[in-house]
Amino acid sequence: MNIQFKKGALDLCVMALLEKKDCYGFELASTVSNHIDISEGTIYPLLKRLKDDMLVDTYLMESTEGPPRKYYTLTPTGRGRYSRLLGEWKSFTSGVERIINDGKGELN
Amino acid sequence: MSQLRGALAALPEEKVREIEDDISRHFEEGRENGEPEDDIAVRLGDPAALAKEYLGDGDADMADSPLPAVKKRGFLTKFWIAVGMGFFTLVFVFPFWITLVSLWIVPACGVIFILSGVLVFVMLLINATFPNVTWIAVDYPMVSFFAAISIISLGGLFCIAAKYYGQFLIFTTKKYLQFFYNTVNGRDA
Repeated sequence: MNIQFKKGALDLCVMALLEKKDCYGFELASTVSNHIDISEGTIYPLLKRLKDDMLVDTYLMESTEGPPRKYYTLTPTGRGRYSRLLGEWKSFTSGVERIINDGKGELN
Repeated sequence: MSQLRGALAALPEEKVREIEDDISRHFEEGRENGEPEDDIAVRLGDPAALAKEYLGDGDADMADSPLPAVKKRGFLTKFWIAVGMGFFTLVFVFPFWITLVSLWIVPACGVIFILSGVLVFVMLLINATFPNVTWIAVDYPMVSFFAAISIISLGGLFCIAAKYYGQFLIFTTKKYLQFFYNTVNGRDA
């Protein structure tokens, strides 16, 4: 898949998942890679960057098996950023759609 | 894992430990989900590419959105770069630019061509309507008529050329000014 597409979309995907519920790393990575063709490792630098920007926070929680898990959660700033990005993404993709599907060349 | 550690050597020890922690957690969590270690490793991707990603140079194989590199520059540095580039611009670029701009005059003459053609038409018209106005008489009306048509068409072509050439000039000038600005401010591309 085109690298530029991924770049823009991946942040959004991760934030979208975290907006629904807090996730641990493996969970996020495998969910994203189930739907999009990426190396799962990609999301860790991304999460780190989001954490550095204070859009995402982490906490440890006991798991039924093995050591406590590190969960990622969206901060209030992160939620704000997410809804803004989502709006931008929607208007961007719908614009692209309109251009691509403009069969009769009516746009010009 | 050791490959990743090696490739991350440029980062401070604490950061590397943090990254290692994240990745080994990933393996741990994967095992708890019943995935074989080899599969997890394959799906994580190339350690070198991952390291590059962490180092903020993510064009290798992975997706990331690094900000355009901005070198931090003090005011004085910027000032001297601006002076240097300004000098270069004045001596080498500006004369070249002025030449290009003056060349625009040539196609812009198209307007004069059109005007003169139209003038001939007007004169022919006056001749036809008022045959007794002699001071504006055209000697060879037919020849003048076709000459006027030719010169108007030629003028049209020149005008089109002038338009595109003008656009090209504006575009190039803008690009150069942008390049100037970015270079002074230490921005790549």
